[in-house]
Parts: sequence; C-alpha cells; structure tokens
Amino acid sequence: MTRHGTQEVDEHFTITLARGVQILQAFSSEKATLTNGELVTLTGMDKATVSRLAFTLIELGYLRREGLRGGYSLDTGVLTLGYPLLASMHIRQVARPWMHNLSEHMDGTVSLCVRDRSSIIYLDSVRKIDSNTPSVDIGSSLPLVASAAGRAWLCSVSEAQRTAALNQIRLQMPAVFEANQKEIEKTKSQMQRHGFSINRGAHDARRVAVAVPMCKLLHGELIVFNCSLLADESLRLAKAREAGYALRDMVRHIEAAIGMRTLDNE
Amino acid sequence: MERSTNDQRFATTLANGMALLRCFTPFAPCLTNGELARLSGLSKATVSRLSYTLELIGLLQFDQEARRYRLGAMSLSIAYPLLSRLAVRQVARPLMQQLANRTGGSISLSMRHRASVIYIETTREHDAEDFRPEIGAALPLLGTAAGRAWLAACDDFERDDACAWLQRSTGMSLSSLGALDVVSTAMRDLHERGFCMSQGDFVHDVNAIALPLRERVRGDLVILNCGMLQHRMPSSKLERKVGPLLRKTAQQIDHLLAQQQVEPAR
Repeated sequence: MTRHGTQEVDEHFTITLARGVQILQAFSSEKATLTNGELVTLTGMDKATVSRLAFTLIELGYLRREGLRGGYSLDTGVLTLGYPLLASMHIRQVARPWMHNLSEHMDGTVSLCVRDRSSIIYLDSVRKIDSNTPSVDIGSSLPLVASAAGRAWLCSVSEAQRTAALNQIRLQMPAVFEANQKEIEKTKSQMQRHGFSINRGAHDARRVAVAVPMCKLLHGELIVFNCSLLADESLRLAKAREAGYALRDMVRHIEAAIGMRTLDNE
Repeated sequence: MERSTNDQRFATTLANGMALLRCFTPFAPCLTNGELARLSGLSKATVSRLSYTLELIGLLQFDQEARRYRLGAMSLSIAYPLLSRLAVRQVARPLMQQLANRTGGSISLSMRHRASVIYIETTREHDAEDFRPEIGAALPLLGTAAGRAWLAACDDFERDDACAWLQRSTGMSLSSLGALDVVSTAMRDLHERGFCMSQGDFVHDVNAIALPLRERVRGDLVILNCGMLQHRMPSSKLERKVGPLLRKTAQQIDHLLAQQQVEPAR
C-alpha cells in the first residue's frame, strides 16, 4: 500500500483504489487526452504511482494509450460503469416522453438530476432537435450551490442532509459557499411561493433555469427535474415563470405515473 | 472477465475495487457486502474496505431503505468526458428518433470494446414500453447484429485484436466459438444485403439488423442498428422494410458527420 502523508488516517480507506479513480476523474471534455506529466500535476501523485495505476486502468479497459508517447484517454469501457444505474432507473423511461414534450413546448433543455456530494449530476437530458444549446449530457455535473437544480435540492431535503451538504461545501470551497449563500436563502422563498427555483443558466448567462424536486425520495434519493432555456433580458422572468409552472405540472404527472401521488383535479 | 496479470505494475487493489462495481447489473442494482463478496470471490473483510472507499468517492451509495449498496451517480460522471466527445451521438439522435418512431424499433449506435459492442446512444418510440438496452450496455460481438456488422467491416488488424479478446474472455478457441462462420456470413450479408442480422440470437424475441457508418469516430468504427420485437414485425419485413430505411439513416448521419469535419467546430 502507498503511504499518504497529510490526510488523516482512516484504516478502512483504500488509497490505491481512490487514487486509481482519481486518475479517471482527471479527464474532462476539454482535456480528453492527458500525458503522464499532466496526470502528475492534476492529481498530485508521483510519476511512478501514476504509471502504475494507468497501466492497471488500461488492463481493465478504462484507459487507452493515444499513440506511443501521446498520453492517455478514457477507453470505451468506462461507459459500462454506470450502465446498471441507468438501466435500473425506470423513472427515466417513464419521464422521457414528458420531458420531450416540455422541451418542445418551451424550446428548452429538460433534465433529470440527482445529487452527488457537492454536485448535481444529470441522469438524462432532452433538448429540442437542432437547437444550439450547451452540451449537457448524461453524467455532466453542476455545482450544488450554484445551480437551480442544486438549490432546489438543498431547499427540499431534511435539515440534517442540508446542513451536512453545506458544511462540506463550506469546508472545501469557502469562496463558492460565500458567494451563493444569499441566493440559497432566496431559493427557499421561491420554492415556498411557487414550487420551483429560478437561476441564471450555469453555462451561459443568457439562459435561465428552473428546477422542481419530486415530492418524495426514490431509492433513497431526491430526484430534481430542471428546464433551461434562452430568453431575452426583458422576458427572462416571465419565461422562467412559465417554464417553472409547466415543469411543476410535469413533475406532478410523473409522480402520479409512478404511484408517488394521486392527481387531484384542481 | 479479465485474467489477473502477474505484472508487478498491476495494482490488484484497484482492480478488485473496480471488480465490485461490475457485480452490479440492471437485474441486481442493489447488493449487500455479503452478496458482493460472493459475486466477486473476495473476502468479506476486503469487500467492506473497498465498498467503504467506493462510497466515500461517490461510486457507490448506501440505500438506507434497501439496506444495500447501489451504484452512485459518479459512475456516470466518470464516463461524461468520453460521452460528450462522441459528437456522432448528438448528430445522429434526431435521425435515430425519427426512424424509431417510424418503425417501432429501438435504434442504437455502438462501438466495439474488446470482445463486446457497447451502446453509445439508443432511442426508441416515445411510448414504447419494451425493454431496451441503455447507453453503456455491453453486448456480445458474435451473437448480435451490431457485433457482426463490426466484424464484417473492420480491418484485419482490428479483427485479429477482437478475436484475441474473444479467446481471452471465453477461454475457447475461435473454431469452437464458431467465429469464422459468423465472420464469413456477416461479410456476405453486409456485401449482398447491405446489413448484418441476428434473429433472436441474443435476446430470444428480438430480431435485429445492423450496419457500419462510413465515418469513423476516434478512429473507431460506429455501428447503427435496429432491434425489433418479433411480435411487432417478422424478420422478413424487418429486412425488406426497415433495411433500406436503416441504410438511408446511416448515409444521412455520415453526411452530417462529414460536413461537421469540414466546417470548424461551432
């Protein structure tokens, strides 16, 4: 086992496994190919450790070599990692036609998200055919405190879960926490009044995003739907409201479709 | 699947941790440490250290309701950098959706990985209730239309590599696998009909036809296929009616891909 210096000692934590995964996580859509040296810089591991772990990940089918000296990139095997998760989330299949309709209706991107530690992760995303929207895709993530979906999550889970999540973010990213603290408070009142959160688009400031959480946990997780769309400054709030109410209706129908609630004909 | 290697660079702990993730399937999405130990062949003490670590890094999640582990959303976000760069998915999706709606089948794109083909995109008719494989599903190379189309269209070097993986993963010779017959039938089908076929060979009540795109992605062949429940359409009609439509869709996707490679990225 490799030594680890400053981290507090947790004898159950398997450092080799964590470091191997850290190497996979170093890749991004902007940096799809990384050399040994870049991996050393990005992960803080020494050169020998990086080579050894990369060698193992190649053997396992998760990394591949790009040319002889060109570095590494993710191999197709990584796609199989999340497959059982995707295939067992029947909610995606139930929700897809609804998401598709809303996306056509609002001319926006409609997504289904869950939380992973200090991020929100997209499990599915539907956008209008041929629209020129930022590429959100299965597996992409946004910061929990700075996205409509993340804030909706924060304002809807139990006090204990929220405190735990926020404490973690405060420790790891104090500046991000500070910058968003007020907005989270604002989201609370938005959620109480309208049942959805509103936020400026996380990728593109010309966009606006709204998010609605489901009314109950599913497999122990709170699923959040969001809808983001392009809107002129003057129309942004009106558009957001329209999308927010439509999204709220959609989520209620999906909840009814999976037996989470009965639809009352208001 | 993989045989452990004796190479000193091989990090067994990392491999064991990743092996736990591969114990999960769409049919067994939740597992206890005991079940993980049985499925992986590792000791319970090793499994609990590894699952604890995988939970801390977000690859596993403990489902309080089920008292079991399930895959965490991180399993999807690791694949995101790769998925988001496979632009063929975005280009092809609307065309695939149109074909799915028109024919009632599932339309998918896949790439070869070792002795499997892995789904990189899949669409089906909006209200179809049928089971469909998801992104990341790994299907056998010899038994599926998509795998056969790949075998028929790849170059000799790639075919040798795939055959080596077939032997390695099954421990059988090519002749006892019937691989040579499969390859020659696939080549003849692709040449004479323009597509390869599977008649219930992989999933007993599903017929499928498949063909390769002309344009390669990351240097790899991409296969387009249509899977059809037998009770929806007999095999003869699938070949006669859907075959030409699938070919046309492949041409359209190729056309868009070629255009994209000429134009600078938007």
